[in-house]
Amino acid sequence: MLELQRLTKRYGARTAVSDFSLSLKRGERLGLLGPNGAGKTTVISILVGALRADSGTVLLDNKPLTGDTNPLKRRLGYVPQEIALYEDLSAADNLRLFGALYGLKGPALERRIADELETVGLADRAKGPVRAFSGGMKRRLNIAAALLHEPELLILDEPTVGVDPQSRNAIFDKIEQLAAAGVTLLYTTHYMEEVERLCRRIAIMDGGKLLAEGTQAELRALLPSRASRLRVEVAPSSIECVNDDALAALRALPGVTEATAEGGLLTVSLDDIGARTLTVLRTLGERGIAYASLASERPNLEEVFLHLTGRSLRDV
Amino acid sequence: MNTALLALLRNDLRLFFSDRRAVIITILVPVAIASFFGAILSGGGGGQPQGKLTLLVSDSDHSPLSTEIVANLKKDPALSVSEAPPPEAARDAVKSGKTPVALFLPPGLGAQATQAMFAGPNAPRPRVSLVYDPSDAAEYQMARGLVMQQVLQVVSRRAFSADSAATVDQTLAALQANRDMAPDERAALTDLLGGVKRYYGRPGAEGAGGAGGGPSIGMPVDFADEASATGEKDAARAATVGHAFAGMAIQGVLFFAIDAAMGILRDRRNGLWKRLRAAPLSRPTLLGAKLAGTALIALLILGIVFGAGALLFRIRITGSPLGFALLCLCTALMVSAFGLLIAALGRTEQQSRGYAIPAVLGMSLLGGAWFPAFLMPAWIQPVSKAMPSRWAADGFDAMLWRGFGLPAALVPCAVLLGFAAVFAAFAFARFHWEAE
Ligand SMILES: Nc1ncnc2c1ncn2[C@@H]1O[C@H](COP(=O)(O)OP(=O)(O)O)[C@@H](O)[C@H]1O
Ligand SMILES: [Mg+2]
Repeated sequence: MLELQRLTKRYGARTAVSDFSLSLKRGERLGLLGPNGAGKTTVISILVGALRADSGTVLLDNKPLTGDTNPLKRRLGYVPQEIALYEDLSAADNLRLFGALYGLKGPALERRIADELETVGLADRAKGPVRAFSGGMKRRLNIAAALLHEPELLILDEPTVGVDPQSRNAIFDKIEQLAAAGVTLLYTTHYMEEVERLCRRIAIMDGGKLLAEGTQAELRALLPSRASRLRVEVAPSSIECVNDDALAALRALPGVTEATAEGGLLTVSLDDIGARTLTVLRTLGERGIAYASLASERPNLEEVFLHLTGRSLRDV
Repeated sequence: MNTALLALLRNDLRLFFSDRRAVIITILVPVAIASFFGAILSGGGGGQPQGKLTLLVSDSDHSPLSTEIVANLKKDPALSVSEAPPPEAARDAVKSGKTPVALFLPPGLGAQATQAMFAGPNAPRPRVSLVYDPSDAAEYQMARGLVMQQVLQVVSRRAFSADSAATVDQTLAALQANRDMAPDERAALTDLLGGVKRYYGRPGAEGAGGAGGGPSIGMPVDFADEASATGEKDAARAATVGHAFAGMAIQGVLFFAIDAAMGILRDRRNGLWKRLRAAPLSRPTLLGAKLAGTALIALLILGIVFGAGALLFRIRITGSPLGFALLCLCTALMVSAFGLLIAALGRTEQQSRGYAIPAVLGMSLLGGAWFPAFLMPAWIQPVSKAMPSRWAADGFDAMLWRGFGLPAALVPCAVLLGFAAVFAAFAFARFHWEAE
């Protein structure tokens, strides 16, 4: 359905997107995963027609998606990374504008507005000014604004930034409903959990380039077959011993690709679970770190990204 | 009609009215400043005019008396006198603001003035009239004083001069016919004139002349003053207040154009611009909607500011109402295109505001929004005429209180539309269409 061919965009000396190609089939849900600054928004901006690429083409059903007034644009729904709403206007008035921009009018428009406000849980706030909304409510309205004209392809650029967990779940539910109804999805994020939950296919990008794409299983297969990670629940008595110094020591071990600590939970990524586990446990012992439990799990996209770039998704 | 354009337009209007405080400030500030000016300037006082006062004289009499008055006025160091023989030419010069005051010496002035001097308050008198530009009340006061002084001096001196022996006879006859005069006063004057007659009768008598002139018995002429354009008693006030409101209305909408431009730049920063560009909208639709929205609001501001002027200071359209309406429309379009230009040339709100505010103030000042442009030194005139605000101000002056008809509005309208077209074309060409 959608084809991005060799997109390149430069800002002065910096190349934001470089030779980026990607395709999407009808009904598919594709996650575009990459850290901040990877070039996701630049790709999306080019795709929706808000930014001109230096080179490359965008095809929708094999027809070039060029021109300000190209009717093909009506088949896209676009949820920008920013909250692109008029804060001083009411939720309904915002939707009135965005619906009208796609040719809706009259009672049909009003009906769509009522429907969308209902499904994003803002029906009772229709007349309230957006200014007074919470971050999560604004995000939901931002999505509703893209759906009024019932697009076939919905493009969401980091739609959950700055959102409370409750709104985040509401957004996920909404997206899953749309996908179930046959809407094709392109979802960008720097949260790996989101693509893992929502998307069948995942494209990983960094530094303006596409690094890898495929299903989660395909991407995991890029890692060494014995790659894994250890989850160590640290005993409360030795939590103070888990400091930056200890993490650095773990990272310095051969075969350890990453070590992070969150509260009492230590996560260590290994390239070979059989060969490396003992050295890790010995290092913990030397540093006086006792543990309450120990588990290993299959690597996730975090490790894939790490493997591809040598950097962690969260770090950048 | 284009649904998207209408939707964008409606949205801009909604946005404007959603911020009540901004609406009030946008409208209140010009009304407040104009009222302030109106209140302090409409007292009619003004300051002493600087330099020489230009006086246009139309002498339809061509008698020795009128010629002498003109000659004496020319000698006056405070005046710069020029002559405009046809009265209509002099009238037009004042009406169009080229000259502050014109003096009209009527036919028969020389023949009638001296008799009239003694003929009592109800006798017909020749009418010397002054037509003045109501915005130059101070200059008019000064001119009136000087002219009166000259006319009285020359007339009374001539009443007692050598070539007036015949006049004295006529004057004596007029005096006898004056029923309003007390008998003892008449007797005294008859004596006096008898003496004058005897004095002229002396062999080798010369003209009495003399700087101080003779005694003025009564007013030899009627002084009629007439404010150009309106002819109302408080025309001067109308002019000052009308000009203040026109000037502040123009400045007010220019400032609103900055707000509109800031709105565009803010949308760009907020990602709204990118969202709009993603919709299937043409560039002319996007900018056209902005242009129309800003122009409509500017029109509304002009309407309310002038409306407030009409309510608070009784300013009136003495010229063509259609011309006034067209001027409002063209001013609104010019201002709206100016706003687009600011948005197109600017990258950030702060930066653009930084140069747009001085630009608007300069435009207002040089364009005559703060005080009439013709009071500015000659070298500024070409600069002033390069300002669209000048054309708007001149146009509003012509329609509000100079009392000109529709044709006088057409040239300013055309110039304003020209500015609007140039601004809009530049804005369109330089606009950052990309959402970066
Ligand atoms: N208008 C711009 N001018 C200069 N550089 C830009 C501009 N927009 C984005 N970039 C750069 O392009 C790169 C990609 O940015 P972006 O597409 O926003 O990344 P992402 O959405 O993945 O966080 C970044 O390095 C960013 O700094
Ligand atoms: Mg982004």
